[in-house]
Amino acid sequence: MTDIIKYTGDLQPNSNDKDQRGRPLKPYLPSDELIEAVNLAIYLNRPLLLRGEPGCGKTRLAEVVAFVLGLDYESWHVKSTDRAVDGLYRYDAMGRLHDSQLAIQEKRQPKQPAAFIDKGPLGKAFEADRRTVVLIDEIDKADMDFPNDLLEALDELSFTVRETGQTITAKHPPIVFITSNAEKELPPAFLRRCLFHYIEFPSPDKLEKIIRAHFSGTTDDLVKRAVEKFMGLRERMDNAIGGSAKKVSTSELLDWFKVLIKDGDEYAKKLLEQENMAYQSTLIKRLEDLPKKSP
Amino acid sequence: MKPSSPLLELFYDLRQYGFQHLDIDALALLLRALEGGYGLENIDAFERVCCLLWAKNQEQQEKLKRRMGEFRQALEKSRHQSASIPLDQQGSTNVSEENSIAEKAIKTQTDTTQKIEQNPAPKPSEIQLSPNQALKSLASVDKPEDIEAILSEQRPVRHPDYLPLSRRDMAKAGHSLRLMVRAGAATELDMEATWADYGRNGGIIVPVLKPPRIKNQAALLLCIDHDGSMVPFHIFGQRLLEAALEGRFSRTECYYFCNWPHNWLFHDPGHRDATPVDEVLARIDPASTCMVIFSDAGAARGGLSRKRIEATREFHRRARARAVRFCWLNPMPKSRWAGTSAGEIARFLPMVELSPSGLDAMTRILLGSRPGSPALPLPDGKP
Repeated sequence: MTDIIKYTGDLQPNSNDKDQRGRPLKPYLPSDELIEAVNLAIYLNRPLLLRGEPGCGKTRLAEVVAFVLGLDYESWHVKSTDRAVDGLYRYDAMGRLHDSQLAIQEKRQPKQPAAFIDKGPLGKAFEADRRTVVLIDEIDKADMDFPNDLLEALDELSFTVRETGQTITAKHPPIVFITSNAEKELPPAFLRRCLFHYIEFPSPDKLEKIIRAHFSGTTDDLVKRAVEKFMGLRERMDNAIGGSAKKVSTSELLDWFKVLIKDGDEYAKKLLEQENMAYQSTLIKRLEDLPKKSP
Repeated sequence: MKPSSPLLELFYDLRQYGFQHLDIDALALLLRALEGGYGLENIDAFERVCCLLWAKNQEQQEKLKRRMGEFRQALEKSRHQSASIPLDQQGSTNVSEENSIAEKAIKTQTDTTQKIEQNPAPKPSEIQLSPNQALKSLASVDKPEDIEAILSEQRPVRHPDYLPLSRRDMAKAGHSLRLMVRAGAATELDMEATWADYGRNGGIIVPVLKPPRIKNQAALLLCIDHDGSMVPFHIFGQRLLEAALEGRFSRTECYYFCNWPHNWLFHDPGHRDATPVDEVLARIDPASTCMVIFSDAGAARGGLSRKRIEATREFHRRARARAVRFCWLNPMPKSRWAGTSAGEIARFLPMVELSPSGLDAMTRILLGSRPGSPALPLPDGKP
C-alpha cells in the first residue's frame, strides 16, 4: 500500500512559487471540513467531487494540494465536446494518415500506431512514477455519458488503448478532484463512487484571514471594514426579490480588494466610507444588482 | 431481524429514507474510513464522514444530518435512562422495535464511553469516544450475514418516494429515449468513408472528416391530461415532467388538456393560456419529436364514451399526418382497459401502461421498432 499522504492546509505557497504555467501560486485557506474531505479521499482512493458557488475555490484546491504535498499535477478542463477517452489518450489518425503519404518518413513511423498516441491528463497520471493529483474541472459541461465512461478507468485504474491494444495500468493511484457547477445532475453510478463535499461560503472571519493571506501588510482595520462592506453587498443580493442569480464570491472579493488598496490604505478607507461601492464593476456583474438610485 | 450494531441501524434507517444507493460497498467504505481513524473524535466528526461518503448532494447532506439528529437525541435521552439502569442490565433490556435506535445508542454509549456515565450532564457533541472503543462498537459489523439479512429484509419503506414507479425509473426512460446524431464542425477522421474513397480514387488518399460530437436530437412533446379522473395521478404527471426536463432532450415541451386532447392544448394546468393543436404540430420537427400523451383514456372511471374515442381518433389522425413519433402512456394498468374507452383507443394507437416495462415499451415504440405496441394502427375511419 502506498504511504498515506496527509494534507494539513497549514503550508502555503511563497510569493516565489509558480504554478505549471509560470504564474505565482496564491495562498489557499481551506476549512477543516475540506481538509478532512481531501485526506479521506486520498486515504480511500476515491475521487472527491466538489461543489459550491462559483468563485469559492473549487478549481484551485487540486493545484494547491499538489503543491503542498509535493506531487505532480495534471488538470483537465472539460469542454462540452470532450469525451471520457480524451482524458486518457488521443489518437492522431489524421497525423498518421498524413505521415503515411510522405515519401520520407519523419520521426514517427506510420507502421507503429503507438507513435500517434498522445496521453491525456489521466493517462499521464497513470504512467507517472509517483502519485499525481488530477483535476477534472466542470465535469457537468460534458455529455451525460461522460462520467460513466470514466468510471471503468477510475475504478480499475487501467485502460486499454484501442488502436494499439496496449493496456496501461496506473503505477500509483492518482488523487482525483472533480468539480461540478451542478448545471446537470450526474449519473447515480458515478456519484456512488465519489466522495461529495460542498464548499460553504466562508464566514466573515475566514474572509478576513483569506484577504490577509493574499495581501500581507494591510491593516486589520481596513480588512475588517472591507469585509463588512462586501458582506453588506452579499446580503443585499441575498435579499433581492427571489435572490440574485449570482452572488459575489471570494475570488471577486480578492479582485476588488486589490484595486481598493492600489492607492494606499488611507485612500482605501476613505473609499469604504462612501455610501456607494467603490470599484463596483469588479463585484456587480448584473444590471439588476446595481444599487437603486433614489429619484 | 434487528441490526446488530448502531451503525447498521443508522445504515438501514437511511436506506429507508431515500438513500437507496447505500449498499454493502458504501458500508465497507465507511468502515474503512473508521478503521483509518476518521470520524472517531466525536459524533460531529462521525456525522461529517457519513455526509462525505454517503450523501451525494446538499439535499442528502441535510437529510442525513436530520437522521443523525434523531440519533443524537437518542443519545441524549439514553443518558438519563442509563443513569438509573445498572450497566450490566442494559445489554439485556428488551425494547420495542421503534426504540431500537435509542437502545443501540445506549449500548454505544455504555460500551464505549463509560467515563461519560459518571459525568452528570454531557452534551452529545461533547462525548469524546475514545478511538479504539468507539471503533469497536461502531464498526462491529463482523458478521456479513447480518448485513445480507438486513439488505434483503422487507420492512415498510418510510420515505415519501414510495410509488410503484420511482423517479429513477422515469429518469432511465428519459435517458434511453435518444436519437443520436453527430453535430458540430467536421474535425475527426472518418476511417470507413476515407477507405471507401481510397478505393474509388484509385489509390489516392483524401481524408474524409466527420463531426466528433454526438448529440441527442430527440425532442419531447408531453401532453398531460390534468382533470377529473386524472387527479390521483397528478404526482406521476408532475414527475414525468421533471424527468423530461432532466433528460437531455434537444427540446422539451409540455401541454395540458382535459379528458382528451381537443383543438387546443394548454400551457398550464389551470387552462389559462392555449395554443391550437395544429399550430403545436406545425411547429415541431416530426422526425425527431416524440409525442407522449399521459392520460387514463377513460379507464379510471370505466365506461365507454363514443365521443371520447372519436375525438381521440381525430387527434391521433392529425398527429399521424405530421408523421410524429407517438405513444400514449396510461396510468391505469392494462388489465383495466378492457371494456372501457381506453381499450378501444388502444386498438388504433400505441398505448402502454405506466410501469417500468411499459416505459421500456414506450421507448421502443418511440424510437422506431414496435414490439411493445399493442396493435398496429388501423386505417382511418374503421373501428
